[in-house]
Formats: sequence, structure tokens, C-alpha cells
Amino acid sequence: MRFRKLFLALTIACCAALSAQITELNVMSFNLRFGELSSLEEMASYISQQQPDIVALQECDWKTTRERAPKQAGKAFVNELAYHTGMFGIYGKAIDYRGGYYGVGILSKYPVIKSERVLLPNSNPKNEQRTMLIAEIEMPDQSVLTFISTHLEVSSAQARKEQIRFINKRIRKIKTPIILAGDLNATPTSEEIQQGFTKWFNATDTVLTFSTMKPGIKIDYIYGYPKETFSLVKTAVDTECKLSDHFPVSSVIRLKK
Amino acid sequence: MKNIQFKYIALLLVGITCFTFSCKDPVVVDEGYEAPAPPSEINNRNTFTVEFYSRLNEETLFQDNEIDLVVNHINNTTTSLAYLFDRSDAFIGQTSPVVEIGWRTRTKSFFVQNTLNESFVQGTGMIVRPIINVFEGAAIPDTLFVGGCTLMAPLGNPVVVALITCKLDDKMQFPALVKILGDGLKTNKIMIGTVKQNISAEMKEYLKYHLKDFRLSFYATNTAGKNREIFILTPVSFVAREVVSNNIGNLPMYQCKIEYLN
Repeated sequence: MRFRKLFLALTIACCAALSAQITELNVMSFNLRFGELSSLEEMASYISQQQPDIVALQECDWKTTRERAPKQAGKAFVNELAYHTGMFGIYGKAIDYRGGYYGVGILSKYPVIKSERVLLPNSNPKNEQRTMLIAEIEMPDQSVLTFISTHLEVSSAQARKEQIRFINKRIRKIKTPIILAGDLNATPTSEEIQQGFTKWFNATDTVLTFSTMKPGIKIDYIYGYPKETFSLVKTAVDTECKLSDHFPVSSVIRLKK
Repeated sequence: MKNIQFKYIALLLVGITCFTFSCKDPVVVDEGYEAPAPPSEINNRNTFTVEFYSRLNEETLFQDNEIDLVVNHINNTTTSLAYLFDRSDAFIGQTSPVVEIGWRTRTKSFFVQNTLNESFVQGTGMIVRPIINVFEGAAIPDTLFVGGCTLMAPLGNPVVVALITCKLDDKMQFPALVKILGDGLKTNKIMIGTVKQNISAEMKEYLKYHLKDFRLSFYATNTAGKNREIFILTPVSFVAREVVSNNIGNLPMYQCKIEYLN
């Protein structure tokens, strides 16, 4: 009788474990500082070494000519990084800049089903237009994950609040689990982060991410939505990496289905 | 007497039956949708070309060093709006052919998967010149993947078109295709893909009864070893004028010329 009960309990436990499939994803957020401090090959080599599944990129140029980064003239950053890392790459333009574009990007180990560049609200025309790039990515088990790369306004907390409010409204339409990663230009104690991400799972710690020359603040994040779908395996800010003025942030996230 | 009564009743019944049938509406036969014939003359100011690379069989596209030839071709010609690479398959963790072409030609690359497993993705690569804000895709798992992007076709009056692709292997995919395309083809969706030759007639028949406002044309070659054909599905306001078979090295390429009928 006791054996029967034990057998039944084991069967139920196995079924429960199988039905709640868990996926682990290695996610990275990396502000590239338009390639001023290193070559795209060096950045690609660094990304490859970290073996991420998905990378959110910020400050990506597309065929610009900048005086501060002459070696990157004419280069399409996402193309270069996708080629050298063996990942799929997509680009989201924020503004026209010096004969090309400036914006954000996503690298993904898995194919992208759908992507959309969405302009964030910008009530002050003097501020730089900000954007978010949304991609639906199909995982090997055919489940779909939505991944967002974004870079928020730098000069105004009010503008960031508006942008975060917009993002929160925009994601209501999305039916899949979401990971948002990027440079939010706000510290963890700021009102916009404290109030804007209450429904999100924070997948990073408090290690400072900016600047690499003189670390003073944390402004790069990885979040998951809805909160209860995610758990954190590990997170790290690579303070040895000086390829940009931001340190890359990586998190291994467990995704419950 | 009884016999006569019975005859009258029978006659009356026959009469009522005949009257009932004669009053019924005439039976309307649904002959499906037929697009009106396009103008006989081509307006070259309103045409654009899409290059479709395919072996028109079940083999992967890039088998040798054809990528170099394609890169040279794209770098030296700027007349095509987009380039589609059927079966430019990718391996997870390795640079896919279309990413390499995008890198070397400094163009935007996309990938529309057909199937996916843990290490290998079969699909169609897309290369486009203009900056793209939306890459659309829809997947009905285990049935059909459709994807593409919205871009501005540089015609006499520039027109926004959604250039999409998919691969059809089984007639079971037709309902999914119709579901994804939605109610007719009102939003300038232009689909170029391949279909197995043995189901192309059924595809034509199915769409005729399940889709509206469209034009569908096929292109097949008589070459041995081909079991697929190209299909071009456009809204009625567009027409596939011609498909010209060409080669880039040993790689078969088909120039699809499409006209916007405004």
C-alpha cells in the first residue's frame, strides 16, 4: 500500500515537472558607444565568448561617418556583429545621423519571426528621438519570446517616465513572455525605475554599469514580464570589459512555461 | 368511384410538386473569384523587380562558393527592389548565408524560417536595400511560416508594399495561408514563394474559392530534377508581368517583374 502511494506521488511529480517546461536563456545588454573605443570585430569576439542567446544593443550606427569613430565609417554595426557572431541581427533606427542612422539592435541565436521599430514619445523636440525595437523570437521548442531592446532619454526624468509608461502600455498587447533589455539612463533608486517596473522581474543586480573609465552609476538593465514567469540563475556586470563606455550586463534567466 | 378519387389526388400532388419546384430560385453556381484581365500594355514606370533565387527542388541553395557571386551581383546592380534566397538554410550558432550577404553588401537581411529544430533552420533569406521598420511574420506551428517586410516600391508614385514569402509543401497548408493573408489582399501584400508542382493546381483552385481580390501566377521550368515552381500572389491592383530565368554562376535566379496597376 505504501509502495503504491509512493509510486503515485512520483508519477504526479514527474508529470508536473514535464508539464512546466523550463528554458534557460543567456541574455546580454550592451551599449556600444557607436564603436568609439573598440573595433566591431573585438566587440563581436567578446559577445561570442559570452555565448548569449539574445543581445540587446544600443548606440548602433548604420553607415554613418563620425569624427569620433573614424574607423567605423560606413559600417552597418548590426550586420557586422551578426556576421562575426553567427547570430541573426535586426536594426531599429532612432534618428538620421551623419549620412546614415543611429539606433538600437538585437542579435539572436534563434530566428526572428517578426520585428517592429517603435518610436518612443518625445514631448520635447530638442531631445533626441528614442526608440525601442521589438522582436518575436522562436525558440527551439517552437515557443515564442518577445525581446525588446531600448535606449531611453538621457536628459529628463519626466521624459523617461513618459517613455516607460508608453512601454508598459504597449506591452499589454503582447501575449508571450517578454524580456526588455537596454540602457534606461536611470538609476535603480530613481522614481521612473522604482515605479515603472513594479510589474517586471528584475534580472540584474546593483553593480555599476557606467562608465567604464570611472564607474559611478547603474543604468543598464534586463527585465522580464510577467514577473512570475521568470527566475534568475545568475547575473553579472563584466567590469573587465572596456570595449565601450558601458560595461556589458549579462543574465542567465530561467523561463517557466 | 374510389379509383377516380385516387387519380385526382395523385394528379393534384404531381401538380403541387411541379409548381413548388418551378417557384424555387434558380441554382447559383459559385465559380470562385476570377481577377479581371490586366491592361495588355505594361507601364514600365510602375514596375519593380524582385530576384528570386531557388533550385526549385528540395536541395539547399548555397552548395559551393556561390555567395561571392551573389555579393558581386548585388553590389554591381541596383535595379532590384529585393532579393529572396529560397532554402538559404541556417545552422544555429553559425553565420547564415543571408547574414553574410547582408554584411558584404551592406544591406538589410532578414530570414523567414520554414522549419526549425534545435540546430538547423530551413528558410528563405531576404535582402532589401531601404531601411525597414517592420519585419512581419506569422507562424502557425507545424503548419506554415510566412514572413516579410514592408517597404516603399520606387514606382512612378511610390507605393508601400509588404513583400512576403512562404514555402508550400502540402495542401493542408492552404487554409493556414488564407487565414494568415486575411480578408482578401487589400493591404498590398505581395507573396513570392515556391509550391510543390503536384499541388499547384489545387492551390489555384483552393484560393479561387477562399480568397478575393487577388492574382496568382506560377512559373515552372521543364528542367529535370525540379519538383517545385514559383508562385506569385498579389492583390488585384498588382500583376506579375513576367518571370525571366537567369543564372548567377551556377545559381538559378528568377527575375520577377511586377507592375502596380493604379
